Amino acid sequence: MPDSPFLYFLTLEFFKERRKHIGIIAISLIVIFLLSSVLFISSSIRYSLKQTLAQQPDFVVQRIQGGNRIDAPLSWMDRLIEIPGISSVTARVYGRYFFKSKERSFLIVGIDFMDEQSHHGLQKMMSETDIKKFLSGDKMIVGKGVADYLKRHFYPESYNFMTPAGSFRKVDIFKVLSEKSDLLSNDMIIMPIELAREVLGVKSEEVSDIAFNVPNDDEWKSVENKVGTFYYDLRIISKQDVKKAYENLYNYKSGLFLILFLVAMITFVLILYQRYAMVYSSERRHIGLLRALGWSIRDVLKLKFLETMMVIIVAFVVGIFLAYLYVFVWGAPILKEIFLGGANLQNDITLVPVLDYGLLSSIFLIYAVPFVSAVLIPVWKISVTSPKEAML
Amino acid sequence: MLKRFYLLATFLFLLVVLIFAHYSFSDRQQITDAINRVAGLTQMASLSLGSAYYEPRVKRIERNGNPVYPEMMSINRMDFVYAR
Repeated sequence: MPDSPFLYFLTLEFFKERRKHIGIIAISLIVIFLLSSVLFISSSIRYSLKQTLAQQPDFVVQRIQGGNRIDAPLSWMDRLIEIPGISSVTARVYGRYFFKSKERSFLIVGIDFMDEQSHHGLQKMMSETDIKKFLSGDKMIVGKGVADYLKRHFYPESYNFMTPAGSFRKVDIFKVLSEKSDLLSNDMIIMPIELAREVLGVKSEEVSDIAFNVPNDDEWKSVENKVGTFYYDLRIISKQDVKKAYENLYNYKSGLFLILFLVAMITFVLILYQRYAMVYSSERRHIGLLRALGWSIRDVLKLKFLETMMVIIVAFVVGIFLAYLYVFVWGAPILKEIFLGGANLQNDITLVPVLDYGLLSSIFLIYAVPFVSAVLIPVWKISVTSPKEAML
Repeated sequence: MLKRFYLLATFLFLLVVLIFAHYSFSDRQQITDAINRVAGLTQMASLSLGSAYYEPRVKRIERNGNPVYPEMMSINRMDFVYAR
Protein backbone atom coordinates (compact mmCIF):
# COMPACT_ATOMS: atom_id res chain seq x y z
CA MET A 1 0.00 0.00 0.00
CA PRO A 2 2.68 2.62 0.85
CA ASP A 3 4.08 2.47 -2.71
CA SER A 4 0.83 1.76 -4.52
CA PRO A 5 0.12 3.89 -7.60
CA PHE A 6 -3.38 4.54 -6.27
CA LEU A 7 -2.06 6.16 -3.10
CA TYR A 8 0.43 8.15 -5.14
CA PHE A 9 -2.35 9.36 -7.44
CA LEU A 10 -4.57 10.16 -4.46
CA THR A 11 -1.92 12.28 -2.74
CA LEU A 12 -1.03 13.92 -6.06
CA GLU A 13 -4.68 14.85 -6.54
CA PHE A 14 -4.99 16.07 -2.93
CA PHE A 15 -1.95 18.34 -3.01
CA LYS A 16 -2.44 19.56 -6.61
CA GLU A 17 -5.98 20.66 -5.75
CA ARG A 18 -4.88 22.23 -2.47
CA ARG A 19 -6.36 25.64 -3.30
CA LYS A 20 -9.78 24.08 -3.59
CA HIS A 21 -9.30 22.09 -0.38
CA ILE A 22 -7.89 24.92 1.74
CA GLY A 23 -11.10 26.95 1.43
CA ILE A 24 -13.26 23.98 2.43
CA ILE A 25 -10.92 23.02 5.28
CA ALA A 26 -10.98 26.61 6.60
CA ILE A 27 -14.81 26.75 6.70
CA SER A 28 -15.03 23.28 8.27
CA LEU A 29 -12.38 24.17 10.82
CA ILE A 30 -14.29 27.23 12.04
CA VAL A 31 -17.54 25.25 12.37
CA ILE A 32 -15.86 22.35 14.24
CA PHE A 33 -13.82 24.68 16.44
CA LEU A 34 -16.86 26.67 17.57
CA LEU A 35 -19.07 23.67 18.21
CA SER A 36 -16.36 21.67 20.02
CA SER A 37 -15.39 24.65 22.18
CA VAL A 38 -18.95 25.14 23.37
CA LEU A 39 -19.45 21.44 24.02
CA PHE A 40 -16.06 21.17 25.80
CA ILE A 41 -16.98 24.04 28.15
CA SER A 42 -20.42 22.65 28.96
CA SER A 43 -19.17 19.09 29.50
CA SER A 44 -16.34 20.33 31.74
CA ILE A 45 -18.71 22.37 33.94
CA ARG A 46 -21.16 19.46 34.12
CA TYR A 47 -18.33 17.09 35.07
CA SER A 48 -17.11 19.37 37.89
CA LEU A 49 -20.61 19.78 39.29
CA LYS A 50 -21.34 16.06 39.15
CA GLN A 51 -18.18 15.41 41.16
CA THR A 52 -19.61 17.52 44.00
CA LEU A 53 -22.73 15.36 44.31
CA ALA A 54 -21.05 13.14 46.91
CA GLN A 55 -20.47 16.20 49.11
CA GLN A 56 -24.03 17.42 48.91
CA PRO A 57 -26.84 16.57 51.32
CA ASP A 58 -29.37 13.93 50.30
CA PHE A 59 -32.30 16.31 50.79
CA VAL A 60 -32.91 20.01 51.19
CA VAL A 61 -36.14 21.35 52.67
CA GLN A 62 -37.26 24.85 51.77
CA ARG A 63 -40.26 27.02 52.58
CA ILE A 64 -42.13 28.46 49.62
CA GLN A 65 -44.33 31.51 49.38
CA GLY A 66 -45.71 32.67 46.05
CA GLY A 67 -43.29 30.38 44.26
CA ASN A 68 -40.23 31.91 45.92
CA ARG A 69 -38.09 30.54 48.70
CA ILE A 70 -38.52 32.30 52.03
CA ASP A 71 -36.84 31.67 55.38
CA ALA A 72 -38.07 28.54 57.15
CA PRO A 73 -38.73 28.32 60.90
CA LEU A 74 -36.03 26.62 62.94
CA SER A 75 -38.72 24.42 64.53
CA TRP A 76 -38.86 22.43 61.28
CA MET A 77 -35.43 21.09 62.19
CA ASP A 78 -36.71 19.59 65.46
CA ARG A 79 -39.45 17.81 63.58
CA LEU A 80 -36.96 16.41 61.06
CA ILE A 81 -34.59 15.13 63.76
CA GLU A 82 -37.43 13.06 65.24
CA ILE A 83 -37.89 11.01 62.05
CA PRO A 84 -36.05 7.68 62.25
CA GLY A 85 -33.47 7.20 59.49
CA ILE A 86 -32.60 10.89 59.14
CA SER A 87 -29.13 12.09 60.10
CA SER A 88 -26.94 15.20 59.82
CA VAL A 89 -29.75 17.75 59.92
CA THR A 90 -28.07 21.07 59.15
CA ALA A 91 -29.47 24.56 59.01
CA ARG A 92 -28.26 26.65 56.10
CA VAL A 93 -28.19 30.43 56.09
CA TYR A 94 -27.28 32.12 52.84
CA GLY A 95 -28.21 35.08 50.74
CA ARG A 96 -26.90 37.81 48.52
CA TYR A 97 -25.27 40.95 49.78
CA PHE A 98 -25.45 43.83 47.33
CA PHE A 99 -22.47 46.08 47.15
CA LYS A 100 -22.63 49.68 46.09
CA SER A 101 -26.24 50.20 44.98
CA LYS A 102 -26.73 46.78 43.39
CA GLU A 103 -23.78 47.13 41.06
CA ARG A 104 -22.19 43.89 42.27
CA SER A 105 -23.26 41.18 44.70
CA PHE A 106 -21.69 38.49 46.86
CA LEU A 107 -23.15 35.22 48.05
CA ILE A 108 -22.87 35.04 51.84
CA VAL A 109 -22.96 31.54 53.28
CA GLY A 110 -23.26 31.14 57.04
CA ILE A 111 -21.74 28.01 58.53
CA ASP A 112 -22.32 26.60 61.99
CA PHE A 113 -18.71 25.74 62.82
CA MET A 114 -19.75 24.09 66.07
CA ASP A 115 -21.45 21.43 63.97
CA GLU A 116 -19.14 18.40 63.65
CA GLN A 117 -19.57 18.02 59.90
CA SER A 118 -18.89 21.70 59.17
CA HIS A 119 -15.93 21.73 61.53
CA HIS A 120 -14.47 18.73 59.72
CA GLY A 121 -15.05 20.49 56.38
CA LEU A 122 -13.27 23.59 57.64
CA GLN A 123 -10.35 21.53 58.89
CA LYS A 124 -10.01 19.94 55.45
CA MET A 125 -10.03 23.33 53.77
CA MET A 126 -7.59 25.03 56.08
CA SER A 127 -5.22 22.25 57.00
CA GLU A 128 -2.28 24.62 57.20
CA THR A 129 -3.95 27.55 59.00
CA ASP A 130 -5.07 28.09 62.56
CA ILE A 131 -8.81 27.41 62.89
CA LYS A 132 -8.93 28.77 66.44
CA LYS A 133 -7.72 32.11 65.15
CA PHE A 134 -10.45 32.09 62.52
CA LEU A 135 -13.17 31.38 65.07
CA SER A 136 -11.86 33.94 67.58
CA GLY A 137 -13.36 37.05 65.97
CA ASP A 138 -15.46 38.39 63.09
CA LYS A 139 -13.62 36.82 60.20
CA MET A 140 -14.59 35.58 56.77
CA ILE A 141 -13.23 33.37 54.03
CA VAL A 142 -13.73 34.91 50.61
CA GLY A 143 -13.60 33.71 47.02
CA LYS A 144 -10.98 35.08 44.67
CA GLY A 145 -13.46 37.28 42.80
CA VAL A 146 -14.63 38.89 46.06
CA ALA A 147 -11.05 39.44 47.28
CA ASP A 148 -10.05 41.11 44.01
CA TYR A 149 -13.15 43.30 43.98
CA LEU A 150 -12.72 44.42 47.59
CA LYS A 151 -9.05 45.10 47.01
CA ARG A 152 -9.88 47.29 44.02
CA HIS A 153 -12.33 49.21 46.23
CA PHE A 154 -9.78 49.82 48.97
CA TYR A 155 -10.85 47.02 51.32
CA PRO A 156 -7.80 44.76 51.14
CA GLU A 157 -8.06 43.37 54.67
CA SER A 158 -11.62 43.87 55.91
CA TYR A 159 -15.04 45.10 54.86
CA ASN A 160 -17.79 47.01 56.67
CA PHE A 161 -21.07 45.25 55.97
CA MET A 162 -24.21 47.27 56.39
CA THR A 163 -26.87 45.21 58.15
CA PRO A 164 -30.61 45.61 57.40
CA ALA A 165 -30.84 47.30 60.84
CA GLY A 166 -28.66 50.09 59.46
CA SER A 167 -25.58 49.40 61.58
CA PHE A 168 -22.12 48.57 60.25
CA ARG A 169 -20.28 45.36 61.00
CA LYS A 170 -16.56 45.16 60.29
CA VAL A 171 -15.44 41.70 59.20
CA ASP A 172 -11.81 40.80 58.53
CA ILE A 173 -10.72 38.76 55.54
CA PHE A 174 -9.07 35.67 57.01
CA LYS A 175 -8.34 33.66 53.91
CA VAL A 176 -8.89 33.78 50.16
CA LEU A 177 -10.17 30.55 48.65
CA SER A 178 -8.11 28.85 45.96
CA GLU A 179 -8.78 30.05 42.43
CA LYS A 180 -9.16 26.39 41.49
CA SER A 181 -12.57 26.40 43.17
CA ASP A 182 -13.74 29.57 41.40
CA LEU A 183 -16.47 27.62 39.62
CA LEU A 184 -18.37 27.62 42.92
CA SER A 185 -16.64 30.11 45.16
CA ASN A 186 -15.72 33.14 43.04
CA ASP A 187 -18.38 35.40 44.58
CA MET A 188 -18.72 33.48 47.84
CA ILE A 189 -18.16 34.74 51.38
CA ILE A 190 -18.09 32.09 54.11
CA MET A 191 -18.65 33.31 57.66
CA PRO A 192 -19.96 32.00 60.98
CA ILE A 193 -23.72 31.46 60.93
CA GLU A 194 -24.57 34.06 63.57
CA LEU A 195 -22.61 36.73 61.73
CA ALA A 196 -24.30 35.78 58.45
CA ARG A 197 -27.71 36.09 60.14
CA GLU A 198 -26.86 39.60 61.26
CA VAL A 199 -25.53 40.72 57.87
CA LEU A 200 -28.40 39.18 55.91
CA GLY A 201 -31.10 40.02 58.43
CA VAL A 202 -32.22 36.45 59.03
CA LYS A 203 -34.07 36.13 62.34
CA SER A 204 -32.52 33.90 65.02
CA GLU A 205 -35.48 31.48 64.92
CA GLU A 206 -35.32 31.16 61.12
CA VAL A 207 -32.99 29.59 58.55
CA SER A 208 -32.67 29.84 54.75
CA ASP A 209 -33.25 26.11 54.33
CA ILE A 210 -32.53 22.80 56.02
CA ALA A 211 -30.32 20.02 54.68
CA PHE A 212 -30.36 16.43 55.89
CA ASN A 213 -29.09 12.99 54.96
CA VAL A 214 -30.77 9.60 54.82
CA PRO A 215 -27.93 7.04 54.97
CA ASN A 216 -30.11 4.14 53.82
CA ASP A 217 -30.94 4.66 50.12
CA ASP A 218 -33.98 2.36 50.37
CA GLU A 219 -35.59 4.78 52.80
CA TRP A 220 -35.24 7.82 50.56
CA LYS A 221 -38.68 7.58 49.01
CA SER A 222 -40.56 6.96 52.27
CA VAL A 223 -38.68 9.72 54.10
CA GLU A 224 -39.33 12.10 51.22
CA ASN A 225 -43.04 11.30 51.32
CA LYS A 226 -43.17 11.67 55.07
CA VAL A 227 -41.38 15.02 55.14
CA GLY A 228 -43.42 16.24 52.18
CA THR A 229 -46.65 15.87 54.13
CA PHE A 230 -45.49 17.95 57.10
CA TYR A 231 -46.43 21.37 55.75
CA TYR A 232 -48.23 22.67 52.69
CA ASP A 233 -45.65 25.37 52.00
CA LEU A 234 -42.72 22.96 52.10
CA ARG A 235 -40.60 22.01 49.10
CA ILE A 236 -38.22 19.11 49.25
CA ILE A 237 -35.31 18.80 46.81
CA SER A 238 -33.55 15.44 46.62
CA LYS A 239 -30.05 14.69 45.40
CA GLN A 240 -31.62 12.95 42.41
CA ASP A 241 -33.32 16.21 41.39
CA VAL A 242 -29.99 18.02 41.66
CA LYS A 243 -28.32 15.31 39.57
CA LYS A 244 -31.00 15.64 36.87
CA ALA A 245 -30.61 19.41 36.92
CA TYR A 246 -26.85 19.04 36.38
CA GLU A 247 -27.40 16.66 33.49
CA ASN A 248 -29.70 19.17 31.82
CA LEU A 249 -27.45 22.11 32.59
CA TYR A 250 -26.56 24.14 29.52
CA ASN A 251 -28.70 21.99 27.32
CA TYR A 252 -30.47 25.11 26.24
CA LYS A 253 -27.27 26.99 25.56
CA SER A 254 -25.57 24.05 23.89
CA GLY A 255 -28.82 23.46 22.01
CA LEU A 256 -28.74 27.03 20.78
CA PHE A 257 -25.23 26.49 19.50
CA LEU A 258 -26.29 23.19 18.00
CA ILE A 259 -28.98 25.01 16.01
CA LEU A 260 -26.39 27.54 14.86
CA PHE A 261 -24.09 24.70 13.95
CA LEU A 262 -26.84 22.96 11.99
CA VAL A 263 -27.62 26.17 10.10
CA ALA A 264 -23.92 26.66 9.33
CA MET A 265 -23.54 22.99 8.42
CA ILE A 266 -26.53 22.97 6.05
CA THR A 267 -25.28 26.14 4.36
CA PHE A 268 -21.87 24.56 4.06
CA VAL A 269 -23.31 21.35 2.58
CA LEU A 270 -25.42 23.36 0.13
CA ILE A 271 -22.33 25.27 -1.02
CA LEU A 272 -20.46 22.01 -1.43
CA TYR A 273 -23.33 20.29 -3.19
CA GLN A 274 -23.79 23.20 -5.54
CA ARG A 275 -20.08 23.22 -6.23
CA TYR A 276 -20.02 19.58 -7.18
CA ALA A 277 -23.49 19.46 -8.76
CA MET A 278 -22.81 22.35 -11.10
CA VAL A 279 -19.65 20.48 -11.88
CA TYR A 280 -17.08 22.67 -13.36
CA SER A 281 -16.00 21.49 -16.73
CA SER A 282 -12.52 20.62 -15.43
CA GLU A 283 -13.97 18.35 -12.72
CA ARG A 284 -16.32 16.74 -15.24
CA ARG A 285 -13.53 16.26 -17.73
CA HIS A 286 -11.31 14.85 -15.03
CA ILE A 287 -13.79 12.15 -14.05
CA GLY A 288 -14.56 11.45 -17.73
CA LEU A 289 -10.85 11.09 -18.46
CA LEU A 290 -10.38 8.61 -15.62
CA ARG A 291 -13.36 6.60 -16.88
CA ALA A 292 -11.95 6.70 -20.44
CA LEU A 293 -8.61 5.41 -19.14
CA GLY A 294 -10.39 2.34 -17.84
CA TRP A 295 -11.18 3.32 -14.24
CA SER A 296 -14.34 1.68 -12.99
CA ILE A 297 -17.12 3.69 -11.30
CA ARG A 298 -16.06 2.07 -8.06
CA ASP A 299 -12.46 3.27 -8.49
CA VAL A 300 -13.55 6.84 -9.23
CA LEU A 301 -15.85 6.85 -6.18
CA LYS A 302 -13.07 5.34 -4.05
CA LEU A 303 -10.66 8.07 -5.17
CA LYS A 304 -13.14 10.86 -4.44
CA PHE A 305 -14.19 9.27 -1.14
CA LEU A 306 -10.61 9.01 0.12
CA GLU A 307 -9.81 12.52 -1.07
CA THR A 308 -12.85 13.84 0.82
CA MET A 309 -11.94 11.81 3.90
CA MET A 310 -8.48 13.37 3.91
CA VAL A 311 -10.07 16.83 3.89
CA ILE A 312 -12.50 15.82 6.66
CA ILE A 313 -9.80 14.29 8.88
CA VAL A 314 -7.46 17.28 8.51
CA ALA A 315 -10.26 19.75 9.38
CA PHE A 316 -11.58 17.60 12.23
CA VAL A 317 -8.24 16.92 13.95
CA VAL A 318 -7.02 20.53 13.62
CA GLY A 319 -10.44 21.89 14.70
CA ILE A 320 -10.60 19.67 17.79
CA PHE A 321 -6.99 20.46 18.67
CA LEU A 322 -7.61 24.22 18.46
CA ALA A 323 -10.81 23.90 20.51
CA TYR A 324 -8.99 21.87 23.19
CA LEU A 325 -6.18 24.42 23.28
CA TYR A 326 -8.64 27.33 23.48
CA VAL A 327 -10.80 25.81 26.23
CA PHE A 328 -8.47 23.81 28.45
CA VAL A 329 -5.16 25.61 27.98
CA TRP A 330 -6.23 29.23 27.44
CA GLY A 331 -9.36 28.97 29.61
CA ALA A 332 -11.93 29.80 26.89
CA PRO A 333 -11.84 33.61 26.98
CA ILE A 334 -15.05 35.33 25.71
CA LEU A 335 -17.02 32.09 25.16
CA LYS A 336 -16.82 31.35 28.89
CA GLU A 337 -18.79 34.53 29.58
CA ILE A 338 -21.77 33.09 27.72
CA PHE A 339 -21.91 30.25 30.24
CA LEU A 340 -21.14 32.08 33.46
CA GLY A 341 -22.56 35.50 32.67
CA GLY A 342 -20.70 38.76 32.95
CA ALA A 343 -23.14 40.86 34.97
CA ASN A 344 -21.36 40.34 38.29
CA LEU A 345 -17.76 39.66 39.30
CA GLN A 346 -15.14 38.63 36.76
CA ASN A 347 -14.75 34.85 37.03
CA ASP A 348 -11.53 33.23 35.78
CA ILE A 349 -12.47 29.61 36.29
CA THR A 350 -10.09 26.74 35.66
CA LEU A 351 -11.88 24.24 33.45
CA VAL A 352 -11.18 20.57 34.14
CA PRO A 353 -10.10 18.85 30.89
CA VAL A 354 -12.82 16.42 29.88
CA LEU A 355 -12.75 14.33 26.70
CA ASP A 356 -16.13 12.81 26.00
CA TYR A 357 -15.52 10.27 23.23
CA GLY A 358 -19.24 9.92 22.51
CA LEU A 359 -19.41 13.66 21.95
CA LEU A 360 -16.36 13.67 19.68
CA SER A 361 -17.71 10.85 17.55
CA SER A 362 -21.08 12.60 17.29
CA ILE A 363 -19.37 15.78 16.06
CA PHE A 364 -17.40 13.71 13.55
CA LEU A 365 -20.50 11.95 12.24
CA ILE A 366 -22.61 15.12 12.04
CA TYR A 367 -19.83 16.73 10.05
CA ALA A 368 -18.53 13.83 7.94
CA VAL A 369 -21.73 12.16 6.71
CA PRO A 370 -23.30 15.21 4.98
CA PHE A 371 -19.91 16.24 3.64
CA VAL A 372 -19.19 12.85 2.07
CA SER A 373 -22.68 12.57 0.60
CA ALA A 374 -22.52 16.13 -0.78
CA VAL A 375 -19.38 15.15 -2.69
CA LEU A 376 -20.09 11.57 -3.69
CA ILE A 377 -23.64 11.97 -5.06
CA PRO A 378 -22.67 14.40 -7.85
CA VAL A 379 -19.45 12.46 -8.57
CA TRP A 380 -21.47 9.27 -8.93
CA LYS A 381 -23.89 11.06 -11.28
CA ILE A 382 -21.02 12.02 -13.59
CA SER A 383 -19.30 8.65 -13.30
CA VAL A 384 -22.34 6.74 -14.55
CA THR A 385 -22.59 8.85 -17.72
CA SER A 386 -20.46 7.80 -20.65
CA PRO A 387 -16.90 9.26 -20.62
CA LYS A 388 -17.48 10.91 -23.99
CA GLU A 389 -20.51 12.78 -22.69
CA ALA A 390 -18.76 13.70 -19.44
CA MET A 391 -15.80 15.24 -21.25
CA LEU A 392 -17.94 17.45 -23.47
CA MET B 1 3.79 13.82 -3.06
CA LEU B 2 3.95 10.79 -0.80
CA LYS B 3 6.51 12.57 1.35
CA ARG B 4 4.10 15.49 1.84
CA PHE B 5 1.34 13.07 2.65
CA TYR B 6 3.43 11.37 5.34
CA LEU B 7 4.40 14.76 6.73
CA LEU B 8 0.76 15.76 6.98
CA ALA B 9 -0.16 12.43 8.63
CA THR B 10 2.69 12.85 11.14
CA PHE B 11 1.56 16.41 11.92
CA LEU B 12 -2.02 15.28 12.58
CA PHE B 13 -0.80 12.38 14.69
CA LEU B 14 1.34 14.80 16.69
CA LEU B 15 -1.70 16.99 17.38
CA VAL B 16 -3.65 13.97 18.66
CA VAL B 17 -0.69 12.92 20.84
CA LEU B 18 -0.44 16.46 22.24
CA ILE B 19 -4.14 16.42 23.21
CA PHE B 20 -3.81 13.06 24.95
CA ALA B 21 -0.56 14.07 26.65
CA HIS B 22 -2.14 17.22 28.07
CA TYR B 23 -5.25 15.30 29.06
CA SER B 24 -3.25 12.57 30.82
CA PHE B 25 -0.81 14.83 32.63
CA SER B 26 -3.15 17.67 33.63
CA ASP B 27 -3.94 17.69 37.33
CA ARG B 28 -7.69 17.22 37.20
CA GLN B 29 -7.86 15.87 40.73
CA GLN B 30 -6.48 19.06 42.28
CA ILE B 31 -9.22 21.21 40.74
CA THR B 32 -11.91 18.66 41.62
CA ASP B 33 -10.65 18.47 45.22
CA ALA B 34 -10.67 22.26 45.61
CA ILE B 35 -14.26 22.42 44.34
CA ASN B 36 -15.30 19.48 46.53
CA ARG B 37 -13.82 21.11 49.64
CA VAL B 38 -15.99 24.20 49.13
CA ALA B 39 -19.06 22.06 48.35
CA GLY B 40 -18.35 19.90 51.42
CA LEU B 41 -18.10 22.85 53.77
CA THR B 42 -21.01 24.90 52.48
CA GLN B 43 -23.13 21.91 51.36
CA MET B 44 -23.94 24.03 48.34
CA ALA B 45 -22.82 23.44 44.79
CA SER B 46 -24.37 26.32 42.99
CA LEU B 47 -22.40 27.71 40.07
CA SER B 48 -20.79 31.07 40.72
CA LEU B 49 -22.74 32.76 37.96
CA GLY B 50 -22.23 36.40 37.17
CA SER B 51 -25.94 37.12 37.55
CA ALA B 52 -27.45 40.58 37.63
CA TYR B 53 -29.31 41.75 40.75
CA TYR B 54 -32.72 40.78 39.33
CA GLU B 55 -31.60 37.25 38.46
CA PRO B 56 -31.41 34.45 41.07
CA ARG B 57 -27.87 33.56 42.13
CA VAL B 58 -28.74 30.11 43.49
CA LYS B 59 -30.61 28.37 40.71
CA ARG B 60 -33.98 26.94 41.60
CA ILE B 61 -34.21 23.17 41.25
CA GLU B 62 -37.69 21.79 41.05
CA ARG B 63 -39.44 18.83 39.55
CA ASN B 64 -42.93 18.56 38.21
CA GLY B 65 -45.48 16.92 40.41
CA ASN B 66 -47.41 17.41 43.58
CA PRO B 67 -45.09 18.30 46.46
CA VAL B 68 -47.61 17.10 49.04
CA TYR B 69 -48.23 13.76 47.36
CA PRO B 70 -45.10 13.07 45.27
CA GLU B 71 -46.30 9.56 44.44
CA MET B 72 -49.58 10.78 43.00
CA MET B 73 -49.55 10.92 39.22
CA SER B 74 -50.36 14.27 37.70
CA ILE B 75 -53.54 14.54 35.66
CA ASN B 76 -52.92 15.48 32.09
CA ARG B 77 -54.85 15.69 28.88
CA MET B 78 -54.20 12.07 27.93
CA ASP B 79 -55.88 10.90 31.13
CA PHE B 80 -59.12 12.51 29.99
CA VAL B 81 -58.75 11.02 26.51
CA TYR B 82 -58.40 7.52 27.92
CA ALA B 83 -61.17 8.14 30.45
CA ARG B 84 -63.60 8.69 27.60
